Amino acid sequence: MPVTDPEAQLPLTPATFHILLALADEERHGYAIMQEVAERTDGAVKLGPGTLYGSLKRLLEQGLVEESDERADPALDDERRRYYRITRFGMSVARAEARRLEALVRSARQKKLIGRATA
Amino acid sequence: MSARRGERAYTLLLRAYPAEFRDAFGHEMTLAFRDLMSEARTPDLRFWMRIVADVARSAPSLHAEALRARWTARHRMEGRRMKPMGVLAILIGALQIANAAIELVAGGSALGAFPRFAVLLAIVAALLLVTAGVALVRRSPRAPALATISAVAWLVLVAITRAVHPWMSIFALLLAVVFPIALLAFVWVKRSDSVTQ
Repeated sequence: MPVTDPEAQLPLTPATFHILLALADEERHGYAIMQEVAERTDGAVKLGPGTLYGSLKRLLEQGLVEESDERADPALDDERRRYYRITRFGMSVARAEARRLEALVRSARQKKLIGRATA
Repeated sequence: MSARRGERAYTLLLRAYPAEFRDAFGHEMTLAFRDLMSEARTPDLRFWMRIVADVARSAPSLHAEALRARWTARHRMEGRRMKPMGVLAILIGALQIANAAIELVAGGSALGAFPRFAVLLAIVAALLLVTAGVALVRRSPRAPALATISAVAWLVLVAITRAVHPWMSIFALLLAVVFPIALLAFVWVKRSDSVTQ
């Protein structure tokens, strides 16, 4: 029976959360996900193809991500690529994970492990 | 290293992944690797160390998942096989009970004490078989143990019945010997499979 409670999927692995974040605003193919994650984290997180597609396989099985149409990316080459998009359930799971992390950061602030966030 | 040779080396590295995963994502991974290579322009040792580390990190967990998926599928299939075996056990047990009842009635008062005892034993054995059959159909966790007990008891009782009630039909005898052995083999194969997984 498929799990429908977003909380039941938590905690997510860092790679999984980064992939969901990359797909939160638009659908992307594998390499575009790698690029988005690297750019967003200033190169601190670089997903390799094995980690990326291993995580995508699990995300597809859990219904957090689904395949979109296969099409060519003119920016890269004429080879057709599979595109992935986040599902509504995937979005709920990503939100739940973000809330969980937010609560953790709040606790760390209260314990003065980190300072207040500056705008 | 040229792009073509790099891609060939990566195709070799992909062999570290389970075949099902390679079939599903191998092509996409090669494309992503090709993009990474062109992004790096001159892939150095560090680039290759990152790629090898990525394979070493991701392949074992994917193998473990593939094994787990295969194990689950196999046991689901065995679960499906348990039902027909259970139905067969119930049918044979019920037929045996009917057969023994007919013998008991037909023999009437002319039936001696030993043959009567043998027929009653056959009914007990048949009841055991029906119980095991019901457990198999319901996929009860006790089904393998019940099936073993009933098959062994069935064989022992058939031997006793045969000794005191020699006019058992060949068909009844074959059914009484062949089916319990098949049931035992079914349970043992299932158990040894679970142990070797």
